[in-house]
Amino acid sequence: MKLPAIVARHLSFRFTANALLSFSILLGAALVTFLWISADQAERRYHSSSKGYGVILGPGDTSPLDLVLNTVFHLGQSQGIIPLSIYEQAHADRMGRRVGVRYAIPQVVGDSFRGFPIVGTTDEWFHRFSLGKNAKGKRVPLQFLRGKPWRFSHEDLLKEAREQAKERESLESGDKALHGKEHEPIPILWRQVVLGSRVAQKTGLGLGARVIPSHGVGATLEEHSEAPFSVVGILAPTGTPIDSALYLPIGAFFRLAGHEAVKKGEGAHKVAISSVIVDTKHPLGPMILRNLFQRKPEAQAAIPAVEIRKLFEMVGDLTLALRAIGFLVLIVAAIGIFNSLYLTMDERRREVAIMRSLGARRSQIFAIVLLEALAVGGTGALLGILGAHGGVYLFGETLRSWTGVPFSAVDFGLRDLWLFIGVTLLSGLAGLLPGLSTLRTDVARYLSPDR
Amino acid sequence: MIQIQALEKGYRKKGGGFVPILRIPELGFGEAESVSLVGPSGCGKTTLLHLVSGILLPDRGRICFRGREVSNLSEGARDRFRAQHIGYVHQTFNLLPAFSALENVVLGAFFAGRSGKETRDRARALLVRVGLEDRMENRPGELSVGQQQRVALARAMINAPDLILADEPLGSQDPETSEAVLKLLLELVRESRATLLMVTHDPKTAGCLDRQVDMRPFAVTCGGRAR
Repeated sequence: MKLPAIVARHLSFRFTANALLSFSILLGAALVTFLWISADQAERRYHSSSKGYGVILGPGDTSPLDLVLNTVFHLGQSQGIIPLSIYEQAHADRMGRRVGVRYAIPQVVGDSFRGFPIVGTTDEWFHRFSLGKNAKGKRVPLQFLRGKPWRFSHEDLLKEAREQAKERESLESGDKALHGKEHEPIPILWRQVVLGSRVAQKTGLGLGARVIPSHGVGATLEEHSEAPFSVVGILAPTGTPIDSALYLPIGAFFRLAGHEAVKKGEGAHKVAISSVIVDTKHPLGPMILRNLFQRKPEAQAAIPAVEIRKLFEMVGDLTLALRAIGFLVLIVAAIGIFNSLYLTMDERRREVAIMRSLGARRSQIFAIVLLEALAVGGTGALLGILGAHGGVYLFGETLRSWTGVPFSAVDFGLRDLWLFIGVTLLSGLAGLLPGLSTLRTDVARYLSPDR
Repeated sequence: MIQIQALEKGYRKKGGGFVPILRIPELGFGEAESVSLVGPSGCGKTTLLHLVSGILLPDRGRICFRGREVSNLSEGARDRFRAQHIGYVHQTFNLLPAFSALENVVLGAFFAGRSGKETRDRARALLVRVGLEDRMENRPGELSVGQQQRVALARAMINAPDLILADEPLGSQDPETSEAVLKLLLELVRESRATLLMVTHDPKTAGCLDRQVDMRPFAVTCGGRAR
């Protein structure tokens, strides 16, 4: 019989009490692990999602964070509109000498399909936008799982803008400037839609399926039944909010009933869009644009990387508070181990006295008590860490549908090892005082049958 | 085997001062001798066993085991001395409740630094010898009083000790069980040629041993307890 076997016997003899103690440690360790996983993955996801969005040009009267959340993450309502002329300048790289625009892609938002946002854009979204570089350092455009992109180019947009302005002028000259007036019919070639991978997965729609957009976002409002769209492509998963949206030609978006591309009395250059996604060749391009737009009240340039960092600085306090709660649970559990060992000291002293009478050394007795505390804490910590990862593995899809964050269960890190070691040592610390206390056991007294 | 000289043991009062409870000018126990320690409660019988085993240290005087002074040994050395030379049998058996009968016996060897198959086989043989071949895996709570005392006997014998200290080993048993356990204890002691010091109140039990030592002359105050 070895020392670990003696410890195991003691633990199994008080199985229920020890299991409850381990469980309380397990809860604390699982809570801390889960908070780590969720905070890390959310942060990682937010940062990786903003790749390719060097800077976002949007309305000047909103907060840059709201603009980023709306454009990149499709959160919240449309933040307003900016004139098409800003997009034209960006697209033509006329924003400044040192900016070096790689691409400028317009977006209009505001409609939805079964709760998923619809984005009106040009086909540069599929050909030029890039989430990052591949292993060879080459920028990779969005990939298609099935089908192909629709065609609606930058030039098509400018042409359509002129059409929209002309339509507005004719309406005004005919004194028929009524809100919600029917547009010209949407050409059949524009009635095409590309689905993000998650939209396809959740809705079960495939190539050739019919999509009827709903006016507005959130709860379904009226449907644009005048314009059914046909699915022509499904994007490959990116693990970003791109997967959770549908993409229409921006011209078709303008022509949907109730959409007003041009305000009364304004020309083609005043055709309204929600935002422009700009990526620059120059690393300081986003900063230059931000400074430039600080002098232009009608628009602003928001840098997603900066805004997301600010967001996490704000949310960081909350994450810290939640982690502190997790650590408090661990400390309370460790105190539980201390209490349990201490409250059973009288019973233990008798056992200690018996062992001492058999020739057990003080160091052996101390080691037994300490190992018991370490085993209870270590088991709880190990099961807690594995349980949190296992929970994420089992419920990752549910968590993703709730939060939009793709959780990865196998995301074990060095910090899991540190947590295990830390919690085990904390439990050992809790067993230290009871262990030392056993060393002072009056053997003769506790061997007495009167005890 | 054991020589006691000018031994004094007492306790310190809370308010200060020393109260002696046991004073033995000279006493000795021979090899393979069985001795009963008799006398009323509180006269220091159990205290003497604790002093001989090194669990307690004398306030004055010396106890020598085969010429080596036990009270001069360090605590660790006294632990080793106890593990290697002494087998203890208590009135309430003092078995460890978390361990089976076999494990309780093996534990006695573990603390003496012995483990492995040989030790386990010897523990099994001892349990067979005390008639518990079919109760080896039972915990103390699942054994009768007599069976528990047999386990305690087997544990005391596991290291083939030179000295067996038995503190009223029959005190909590009915006469029939008591007689059987005593017979077994004496058989084991004789087989191993160990020295036996047994505390007992029962004159009949005391009469079965080689010699009786009346502790009353050594007791300073009856009713006291060494602290």
